[in-house]
Amino acid sequence: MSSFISPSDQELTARFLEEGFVIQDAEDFAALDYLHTLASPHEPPAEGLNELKLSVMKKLNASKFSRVAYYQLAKEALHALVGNELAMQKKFNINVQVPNDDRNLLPIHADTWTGDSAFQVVVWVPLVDCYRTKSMWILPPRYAKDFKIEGSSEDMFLRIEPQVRYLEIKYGEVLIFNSTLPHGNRVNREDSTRWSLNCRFKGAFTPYAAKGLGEHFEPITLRAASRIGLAYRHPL
Amino acid sequence: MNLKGYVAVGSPVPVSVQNMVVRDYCARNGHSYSLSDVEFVFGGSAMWEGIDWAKFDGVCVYSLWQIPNGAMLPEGKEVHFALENYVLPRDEEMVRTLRQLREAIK
Repeated sequence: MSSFISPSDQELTARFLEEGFVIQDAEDFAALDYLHTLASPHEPPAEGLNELKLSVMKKLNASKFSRVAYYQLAKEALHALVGNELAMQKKFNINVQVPNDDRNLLPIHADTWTGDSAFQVVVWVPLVDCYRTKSMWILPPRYAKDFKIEGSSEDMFLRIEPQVRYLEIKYGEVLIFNSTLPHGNRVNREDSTRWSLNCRFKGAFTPYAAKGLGEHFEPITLRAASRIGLAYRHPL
Repeated sequence: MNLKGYVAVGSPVPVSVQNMVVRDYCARNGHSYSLSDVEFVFGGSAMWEGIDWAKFDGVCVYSLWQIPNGAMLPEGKEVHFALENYVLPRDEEMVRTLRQLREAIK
Protein backbone atom coordinates (compact mmCIF):
# COMPACT_ATOMS: atom_id res chain seq x y z
CA MET A 1 0.00 0.00 0.00
CA SER A 2 1.37 3.41 -0.90
CA SER A 3 1.75 5.88 1.93
CA PHE A 4 0.78 9.52 2.05
CA ILE A 5 3.52 10.11 4.62
CA SER A 6 6.95 11.18 3.35
CA PRO A 7 9.83 8.67 3.66
CA SER A 8 11.57 10.78 6.31
CA ASP A 9 8.36 11.06 8.38
CA GLN A 10 7.74 7.33 7.95
CA GLU A 11 11.22 6.63 9.28
CA LEU A 12 10.67 8.92 12.28
CA THR A 13 7.23 7.37 12.93
CA ALA A 14 8.59 3.82 12.78
CA ARG A 15 11.41 4.68 15.19
CA PHE A 16 9.00 6.38 17.61
CA LEU A 17 6.57 3.46 17.58
CA GLU A 18 9.34 0.89 17.98
CA GLU A 19 11.45 2.61 20.65
CA GLY A 20 8.86 4.87 22.30
CA PHE A 21 11.00 7.96 21.78
CA VAL A 22 13.19 9.88 19.37
CA ILE A 23 16.19 12.04 20.20
CA GLN A 24 17.24 14.66 17.69
CA ASP A 25 19.04 17.98 17.45
CA ALA A 26 17.00 20.96 18.60
CA GLU A 27 15.46 22.53 15.52
CA ASP A 28 16.13 26.09 16.68
CA PHE A 29 19.30 26.77 18.66
CA ALA A 30 18.46 30.43 19.28
CA ALA A 31 15.23 29.29 20.95
CA LEU A 32 17.18 26.77 23.03
CA ASP A 33 19.67 29.46 24.10
CA TYR A 34 16.78 31.68 25.11
CA LEU A 35 15.30 29.01 27.39
CA HIS A 36 18.73 28.07 28.73
CA THR A 37 19.42 31.69 29.66
CA LEU A 38 16.06 32.04 31.41
CA ALA A 39 16.54 28.86 33.43
CA SER A 40 20.27 29.51 34.17
CA PRO A 41 21.28 25.94 35.09
CA HIS A 42 23.96 25.71 37.78
CA GLU A 43 25.01 23.51 40.69
CA PRO A 44 22.51 24.41 43.44
CA PRO A 45 22.68 23.43 47.11
CA ALA A 46 20.26 20.60 47.96
CA GLU A 47 18.54 22.87 50.49
CA GLY A 48 16.08 25.37 49.04
CA LEU A 49 15.65 23.38 45.83
CA ASN A 50 11.88 23.71 45.86
CA GLU A 51 12.07 27.52 46.01
CA LEU A 52 14.66 27.51 43.23
CA LYS A 53 12.46 25.37 40.97
CA LEU A 54 9.40 27.54 41.68
CA SER A 55 11.33 30.71 40.88
CA VAL A 56 12.68 29.30 37.58
CA MET A 57 9.22 28.04 36.60
CA LYS A 58 7.79 31.46 37.38
CA LYS A 59 10.41 33.13 35.21
CA LEU A 60 9.88 30.71 32.32
CA ASN A 61 6.10 30.88 32.49
CA ALA A 62 6.10 34.68 32.75
CA SER A 63 8.03 35.11 29.51
CA LYS A 64 5.85 35.91 26.50
CA PHE A 65 8.20 34.01 24.19
CA SER A 66 9.12 30.90 26.13
CA ARG A 67 6.24 28.74 24.86
CA VAL A 68 6.81 29.76 21.25
CA ALA A 69 10.53 29.07 21.71
CA TYR A 70 9.75 25.67 23.20
CA TYR A 71 7.53 24.73 20.27
CA GLN A 72 10.25 25.80 17.82
CA LEU A 73 12.66 23.28 19.35
CA ALA A 74 10.77 20.35 17.86
CA LYS A 75 8.23 21.86 15.47
CA GLU A 76 8.85 19.65 12.43
CA ALA A 77 9.13 16.46 14.46
CA LEU A 78 5.88 17.31 16.27
CA HIS A 79 4.14 17.88 12.96
CA ALA A 80 5.38 14.48 11.79
CA LEU A 81 4.50 12.57 14.98
CA VAL A 82 1.43 14.41 16.28
CA GLY A 83 0.08 16.64 13.52
CA ASN A 84 0.16 20.29 12.64
CA GLU A 85 -2.92 21.39 14.58
CA LEU A 86 -1.55 21.21 18.07
CA ALA A 87 -2.61 21.92 21.61
CA MET A 88 0.24 22.68 24.00
CA GLN A 89 0.46 22.45 27.79
CA LYS A 90 0.05 25.99 29.12
CA LYS A 91 2.86 25.83 31.68
CA PHE A 92 5.92 23.71 31.27
CA ASN A 93 7.74 21.89 34.02
CA ILE A 94 11.31 21.90 35.25
CA ASN A 95 13.24 19.07 36.80
CA VAL A 96 16.38 19.67 38.87
CA GLN A 97 18.10 16.54 40.18
CA VAL A 98 20.98 17.26 42.54
CA PRO A 99 23.46 14.35 42.90
CA ASN A 100 22.48 11.87 45.64
CA ASP A 101 19.28 13.76 46.50
CA ASP A 102 16.44 11.29 47.08
CA ARG A 103 13.78 13.88 47.99
CA ASN A 104 12.86 15.13 44.52
CA LEU A 105 12.37 11.97 42.52
CA LEU A 106 9.77 11.14 39.92
CA PRO A 107 8.96 7.51 40.66
CA ILE A 108 7.60 5.18 38.00
CA HIS A 109 4.56 6.61 36.25
CA ALA A 110 2.96 7.14 32.87
CA ASP A 111 1.27 10.48 32.26
CA THR A 112 -1.97 8.69 31.41
CA TRP A 113 -2.09 7.29 34.98
CA THR A 114 -2.41 10.83 36.32
CA GLY A 115 -5.00 12.44 34.09
CA ASP A 116 -3.17 13.08 30.85
CA SER A 117 -4.42 12.10 27.41
CA ALA A 118 -3.11 9.00 25.65
CA PHE A 119 -2.95 11.11 22.50
CA GLN A 120 -0.08 13.29 23.63
CA VAL A 121 3.71 13.26 23.51
CA VAL A 122 6.23 14.91 25.81
CA VAL A 123 8.99 17.14 24.51
CA TRP A 124 11.81 16.83 27.07
CA VAL A 125 14.65 19.31 26.84
CA PRO A 126 17.91 18.83 28.72
CA LEU A 127 19.69 22.04 29.75
CA VAL A 128 22.83 20.02 30.56
CA ASP A 129 24.19 16.73 29.20
CA CYS A 130 22.14 13.86 30.68
CA TYR A 131 23.28 10.24 30.94
CA ARG A 132 22.84 7.16 33.13
CA THR A 133 21.08 8.06 36.42
CA LYS A 134 21.35 11.77 35.64
CA SER A 135 18.80 11.17 32.89
CA MET A 136 15.30 9.69 32.82
CA TRP A 137 14.51 6.08 32.10
CA ILE A 138 11.70 4.64 29.96
CA LEU A 139 10.22 1.19 29.49
CA PRO A 140 10.29 0.35 25.75
CA PRO A 141 6.94 -0.50 24.11
CA ARG A 142 7.85 -4.16 23.59
CA TYR A 143 7.96 -4.58 27.40
CA ALA A 144 5.29 -2.01 28.30
CA LYS A 145 2.52 -3.97 26.57
CA ASP A 146 2.65 -6.58 29.37
CA PHE A 147 3.08 -4.09 32.24
CA LYS A 148 0.55 -4.07 35.08
CA ILE A 149 0.16 -1.60 37.95
CA GLU A 150 0.71 -3.82 40.98
CA GLY A 151 2.48 -3.23 44.30
CA SER A 152 4.40 -0.13 45.38
CA SER A 153 6.15 2.12 42.89
CA GLU A 154 9.49 0.69 44.02
CA ASP A 155 8.19 -2.89 43.57
CA MET A 156 7.07 -2.00 40.06
CA PHE A 157 10.40 -0.42 39.18
CA LEU A 158 12.40 -3.37 40.51
CA ARG A 159 10.24 -5.71 38.43
CA ILE A 160 11.03 -3.89 35.19
CA GLU A 161 14.53 -2.66 36.02
CA PRO A 162 16.27 -5.10 33.65
CA GLN A 163 14.18 -3.82 30.73
CA VAL A 164 14.27 -0.04 31.30
CA ARG A 165 16.44 2.18 29.21
CA TYR A 166 18.27 5.26 30.54
CA LEU A 167 18.30 7.86 27.79
CA GLU A 168 21.56 9.53 26.91
CA ILE A 169 20.82 13.01 25.67
CA LYS A 170 23.11 15.99 25.33
CA TYR A 171 22.43 19.69 25.67
CA GLY A 172 21.49 20.79 22.15
CA GLU A 173 19.27 17.75 21.61
CA VAL A 174 15.60 17.24 22.39
CA LEU A 175 13.74 14.09 23.34
CA ILE A 176 10.18 13.37 22.26
CA PHE A 177 8.64 10.41 24.03
CA ASN A 178 5.44 8.40 24.27
CA SER A 179 4.08 9.39 27.67
CA THR A 180 1.81 6.34 27.93
CA LEU A 181 4.98 4.31 28.60
CA PRO A 182 6.17 3.84 32.21
CA HIS A 183 9.06 6.23 32.89
CA GLY A 184 10.70 8.14 35.73
CA ASN A 185 14.05 8.76 37.33
CA ARG A 186 16.26 7.35 40.08
CA VAL A 187 18.63 9.05 42.49
CA ASN A 188 21.17 10.93 40.40
CA ARG A 189 24.43 9.07 41.16
CA GLU A 190 26.50 11.12 38.69
CA ASP A 191 28.65 14.05 39.80
CA SER A 192 26.59 16.98 38.49
CA THR A 193 23.01 18.23 38.60
CA ARG A 194 20.42 17.44 35.97
CA TRP A 195 18.37 20.37 34.65
CA SER A 196 15.62 19.56 32.20
CA LEU A 197 12.33 20.98 30.98
CA ASN A 198 9.28 19.09 29.81
CA CYS A 199 6.05 20.02 28.08
CA ARG A 200 3.18 18.10 26.51
CA PHE A 201 1.73 18.40 23.01
CA LYS A 202 -1.31 16.74 21.46
CA GLY A 203 -3.59 17.10 18.47
CA ALA A 204 -6.00 19.93 19.22
CA PHE A 205 -8.97 17.80 18.12
CA THR A 206 -7.95 14.56 19.88
CA PRO A 207 -9.59 13.49 23.17
CA TYR A 208 -8.61 15.29 26.38
CA ALA A 209 -8.48 13.53 29.73
CA ALA A 210 -8.61 15.03 33.24
CA LYS A 211 -6.07 17.68 32.28
CA GLY A 212 -8.47 19.60 30.15
CA LEU A 213 -8.80 22.18 27.46
CA GLY A 214 -8.29 25.72 28.68
CA GLU A 215 -7.13 24.71 32.14
CA HIS A 216 -4.11 22.67 31.08
CA PHE A 217 -3.93 22.76 27.27
CA GLU A 218 -4.39 25.56 24.77
CA PRO A 219 -4.62 25.27 20.95
CA ILE A 220 -1.55 26.86 19.35
CA THR A 221 -1.67 26.11 15.61
CA LEU A 222 -5.27 25.91 14.40
CA ARG A 223 -5.40 26.21 10.59
CA ALA A 224 -7.81 28.18 8.44
CA ALA A 225 -10.22 25.37 7.60
CA SER A 226 -10.57 24.44 11.27
CA ARG A 227 -11.14 28.05 12.27
CA ILE A 228 -13.86 28.31 9.63
CA GLY A 229 -15.40 25.00 10.72
CA LEU A 230 -15.39 25.91 14.39
CA ALA A 231 -17.15 29.20 13.73
CA TYR A 232 -19.61 27.80 11.18
CA ARG A 233 -23.34 27.79 11.86
CA HIS A 234 -25.75 26.28 9.36
CA PRO A 235 -27.97 29.10 8.03
CA LEU A 236 -31.21 27.22 8.66
CA MET B 1 -9.78 45.48 40.81
CA ASN B 2 -12.91 44.75 42.82
CA LEU B 3 -14.24 41.35 41.66
CA LYS B 4 -17.41 39.52 42.61
CA GLY B 5 -16.92 35.77 43.03
CA TYR B 6 -19.11 33.44 41.00
CA VAL B 7 -19.30 29.66 41.47
CA ALA B 8 -21.90 26.99 40.73
CA VAL B 9 -23.39 23.81 42.09
CA GLY B 10 -23.60 20.77 39.82
CA SER B 11 -19.90 20.65 39.04
CA PRO B 12 -17.76 17.67 40.04
CA VAL B 13 -15.74 20.24 42.02
CA PRO B 14 -17.35 21.13 45.38
CA VAL B 15 -18.45 24.75 45.79
CA SER B 16 -16.03 25.19 48.71
CA VAL B 17 -13.11 24.19 46.46
CA GLN B 18 -14.35 26.45 43.64
CA ASN B 19 -14.38 29.29 46.16
CA MET B 20 -10.82 28.50 47.23
CA VAL B 21 -9.67 28.66 43.60
CA VAL B 22 -11.45 32.00 43.08
CA ARG B 23 -10.07 33.49 46.31
CA ASP B 24 -6.55 32.27 45.51
CA TYR B 25 -6.73 33.77 42.00
CA CYS B 26 -7.82 37.14 43.39
CA ALA B 27 -5.09 37.11 46.04
CA ARG B 28 -2.33 36.13 43.57
CA ASN B 29 -3.36 38.79 41.10
CA GLY B 30 -3.91 41.62 43.59
CA HIS B 31 -7.71 41.84 43.23
CA SER B 32 -10.14 42.36 46.05
CA TYR B 33 -12.69 39.58 46.35
CA SER B 34 -16.36 39.89 47.23
CA LEU B 35 -18.10 36.73 48.43
CA SER B 36 -19.37 34.56 45.60
CA ASP B 37 -22.80 34.23 44.14
CA VAL B 38 -23.69 30.56 43.74
CA GLU B 39 -25.34 29.63 40.45
CA PHE B 40 -27.99 26.91 40.85
CA VAL B 41 -26.83 24.85 37.85
CA PHE B 42 -23.36 24.58 36.30
CA GLY B 43 -23.82 26.40 32.98
CA GLY B 44 -26.99 28.16 34.14
CA SER B 45 -27.53 31.91 34.21
CA ALA B 46 -30.16 32.70 36.86
CA MET B 47 -27.67 34.28 39.27
CA TRP B 48 -25.52 35.67 36.46
CA GLU B 49 -28.44 37.75 35.23
CA GLY B 50 -28.91 39.13 38.71
CA ILE B 51 -25.35 40.42 39.19
CA ASP B 52 -25.31 44.07 40.20
CA TRP B 53 -22.49 45.07 37.84
CA ALA B 54 -22.50 48.70 39.02
CA LYS B 55 -20.98 47.60 42.35
CA PHE B 56 -18.00 45.71 40.89
CA ASP B 57 -15.23 46.10 38.29
CA GLY B 58 -15.95 42.58 37.17
CA VAL B 59 -16.66 39.01 38.11
CA CYS B 60 -14.24 36.21 38.98
CA VAL B 61 -15.74 32.96 37.73
CA TYR B 62 -14.40 29.57 38.80
CA SER B 63 -14.18 28.16 35.25
CA LEU B 64 -14.84 29.35 31.72
CA TRP B 65 -17.14 26.34 31.18
CA GLN B 66 -19.42 27.61 33.92
CA ILE B 67 -21.09 30.55 32.23
CA PRO B 68 -23.44 30.01 29.31
CA ASN B 69 -22.44 30.82 25.74
CA GLY B 70 -23.49 34.32 24.84
CA ALA B 71 -23.65 35.55 28.45
CA MET B 72 -23.67 39.35 28.32
CA LEU B 73 -20.70 41.33 29.60
CA PRO B 74 -21.51 44.98 30.33
CA GLU B 75 -19.30 47.64 28.74
CA GLY B 76 -16.14 48.38 30.74
CA LYS B 77 -16.44 45.31 32.98
CA GLU B 78 -14.20 42.23 33.10
CA VAL B 79 -14.72 38.52 33.61
CA HIS B 80 -11.80 36.58 35.09
CA PHE B 81 -11.72 32.79 34.79
CA ALA B 82 -9.79 31.64 37.85
CA LEU B 83 -9.05 28.05 36.87
CA GLU B 84 -7.90 28.76 33.32
CA ASN B 85 -6.39 32.19 33.95
CA TYR B 86 -8.13 33.99 31.10
CA VAL B 87 -9.70 37.45 31.24
CA LEU B 88 -12.49 38.92 29.11
CA PRO B 89 -12.38 41.05 27.07
CA ARG B 90 -8.54 40.71 26.88
CA ASP B 91 -8.56 37.01 25.87
CA GLU B 92 -11.82 37.06 23.95
CA GLU B 93 -10.47 35.30 20.84
CA MET B 94 -8.88 32.43 22.82
CA VAL B 95 -11.95 31.97 25.00
CA ARG B 96 -14.19 31.87 21.93
CA THR B 97 -11.88 29.34 20.23
CA LEU B 98 -11.76 27.14 23.33
CA ARG B 99 -15.54 27.10 23.59
CA GLN B 100 -15.89 26.26 19.88
CA LEU B 101 -13.23 23.55 20.07
CA ARG B 102 -14.83 21.96 23.12
CA GLU B 103 -18.18 21.89 21.34
CA ALA B 104 -16.60 20.34 18.24
CA ILE B 105 -14.88 17.49 20.09
CA LYS B 106 -17.81 16.61 22.40
